[in-house]
Amino acid sequence: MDALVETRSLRVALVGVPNCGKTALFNRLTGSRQKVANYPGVTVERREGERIGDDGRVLRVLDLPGTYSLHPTTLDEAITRDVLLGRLAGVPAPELVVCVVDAVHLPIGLRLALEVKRLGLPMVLALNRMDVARRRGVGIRVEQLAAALGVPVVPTVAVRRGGADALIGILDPARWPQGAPVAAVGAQIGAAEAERLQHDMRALLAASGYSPPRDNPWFARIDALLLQPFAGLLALLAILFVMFQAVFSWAQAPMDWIEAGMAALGDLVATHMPPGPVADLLVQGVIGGAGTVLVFLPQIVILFFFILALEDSGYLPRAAYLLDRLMGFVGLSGRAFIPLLSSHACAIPGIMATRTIPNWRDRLTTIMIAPLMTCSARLPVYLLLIGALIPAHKVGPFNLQGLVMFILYAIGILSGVLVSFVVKQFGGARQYSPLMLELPDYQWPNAANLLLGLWERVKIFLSRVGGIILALMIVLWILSTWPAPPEGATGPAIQYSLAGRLGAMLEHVFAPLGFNWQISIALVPGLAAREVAVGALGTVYAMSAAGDDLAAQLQPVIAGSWSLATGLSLMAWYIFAPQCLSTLAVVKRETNSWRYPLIMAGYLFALAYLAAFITFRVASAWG
Amino acid sequence: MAVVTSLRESASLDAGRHSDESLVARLRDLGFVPGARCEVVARMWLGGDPIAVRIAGSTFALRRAEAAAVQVQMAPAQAAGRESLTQPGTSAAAA
Amino acid sequence: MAQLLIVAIIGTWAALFAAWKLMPARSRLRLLLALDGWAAARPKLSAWRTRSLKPRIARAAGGGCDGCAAHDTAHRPR
Repeated sequence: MDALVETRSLRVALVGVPNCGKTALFNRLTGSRQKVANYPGVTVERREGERIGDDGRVLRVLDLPGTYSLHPTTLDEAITRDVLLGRLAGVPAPELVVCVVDAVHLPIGLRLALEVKRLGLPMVLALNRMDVARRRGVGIRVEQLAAALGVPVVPTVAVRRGGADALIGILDPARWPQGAPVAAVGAQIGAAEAERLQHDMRALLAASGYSPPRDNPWFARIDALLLQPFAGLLALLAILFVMFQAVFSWAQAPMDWIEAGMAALGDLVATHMPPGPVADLLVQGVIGGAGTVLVFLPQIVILFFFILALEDSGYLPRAAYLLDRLMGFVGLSGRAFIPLLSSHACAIPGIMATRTIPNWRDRLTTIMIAPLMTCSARLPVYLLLIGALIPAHKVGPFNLQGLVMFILYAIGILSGVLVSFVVKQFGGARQYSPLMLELPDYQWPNAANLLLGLWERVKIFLSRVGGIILALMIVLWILSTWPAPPEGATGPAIQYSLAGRLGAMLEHVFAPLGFNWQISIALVPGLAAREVAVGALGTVYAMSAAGDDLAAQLQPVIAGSWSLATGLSLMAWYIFAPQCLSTLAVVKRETNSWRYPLIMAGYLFALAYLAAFITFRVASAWG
Repeated sequence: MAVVTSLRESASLDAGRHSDESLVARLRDLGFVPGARCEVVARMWLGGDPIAVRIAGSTFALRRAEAAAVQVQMAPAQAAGRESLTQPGTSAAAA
Repeated sequence: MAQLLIVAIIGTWAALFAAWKLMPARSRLRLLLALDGWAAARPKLSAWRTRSLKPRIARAAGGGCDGCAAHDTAHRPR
């Protein structure tokens, strides 16, 4: 059975320079739901997909990290080379290579194609973005190019439906002979070899009647503004600021609907089910716990809309350019910007994206500060606290709530800067590593890609709410219900339960920070995943009050029972606390040692405790 | 607008900071080869670090240390002479 | 009493599920492989083993972070 499958399948690898639309082509080929981004180095993971070829065989497509040549400078690029050479353990060499070349930037892609061709693997050249190339007046005679290069050349448009059909039809190594025997690939490219490559490339360009693209005058005009030091930095700041304002102002209406829906659902269950533990579990644990997290869906959608649109438009590497010098002062590379921005969505993809940083020292520093960036799991917590404790005043043209959110993000970033500065001061000599970042052409974000990316985020969020968060909420509800209070007890029932006792113990630890026992309980499941704490607070408060329908109205409860100092202190705690087991696990995997995740957890807990303590003391003193 | 004349091997790079030939090889991969026309389209802060260089239809962000390895000759209309991409005067005129 | 039983069952399931999701990827894979070895000796389980267990192992071995669906590659090929 297995042997039969093997003979009917074909291992295909996609190779190309960064920004050539390789990942979009991969999505088109495999139908895999993935993010298409526009900055160098998004493809840091091994991505494999399958599809059935025209002849019925299974194509196993591997999307290799983008690289400019087979002489790597980063871990990513080394992976591409090693896979192609069959050197990477556990990954068999591909049987067919699809070299993806951006037709708009033909020379740079052809150079890589020539290098890959020398490996002697059966190869097809996919001339991607042919539509844009034609529009920009690029002249390429496809047949002549194929004849001169000696491999099939297929025009593709990865972002269009059916744009890769011609490519699929041709993916069959039996249709052309093997190339020349494998050339030796050394660590360094020799000058003579480079010269020959250059010569071959010029010959190819001449043979195919290549004429370069017209420059789009708008790109130059936009860059003149966005790359100008002061205007550019102002624009970057403005973009980030608008993003966080939008998260608050656009999301209000849908959030109200969800909240109202949750309250109605709770009532419905309460009135139609026989009263007892099961109904209580549903109303308090499930709807009151997991439902409280669900409310933040609109805000998360809006945040990701901005991040995905910025990625797709080609702006992000420009932000890296603007910030390179500033980041250099504190010992980071401009290249660290993209992993750190990804960390604002989730530290895990951010930490994995650090593989595009060539220098180990820079990479380690970036990994260590990635969890300080405000990830989306912190959003529900911040949103809850800000909504409950910060009035929605107008401060000039701005909303005070949006302003506080912006400040929280800024503190996250600034603390990352400070930490890396300290590392720079005390971490010994640092080897220089180059920036060399491509600033790709601007493009309108592709609506289909954008929607796909947003849908992905919604799915991830909902599956977390419906999965791990729901499960933890149920466990927490049970822990906070039993044992039942003794006869004649006066306090809320939860105080007598297991969770209540645990909270009372933790309160001693957290009291100096102004945390009450409810917060202390909520922090326990919040250690596993940050946003769970919101659901936990929902559950705890739903049960600590006497039967009122509080689940859907956590914010007013918090507004009524917490001091501002407590709220601010909890925010400060959340900026730093390493409350995400998955992140620590990924750091362990990426650094291949327990040392760094332990250091990370230690320093983050220390910072969190210190920051929350100071915040609470200062805020209390001011009243 | 300027034309690349050669890539200086590691000698020109800040001594001791970068002994890496891979830098020059990578610049070559990006299209910085003799005869290519390039232009500095943006520079950061006063000294210009990093700079954005347009070459063969693509734009790249380079730091001074990297750009210093690229020897250019100004297009005929401007001052002639072999100079580095980052030297004031040449690059300012190019931009 | 029946209600308490239902709550106990739901609670046990939730605790196991949460533990499973929060488990480091490597231990999860090890557990799956152990389960696979155990099921291999039982012919009755062979259908379940190929249908449900094998794809799970493939996914768990394929990398990606634990608990984060962003890197889940569970999509069926077309």
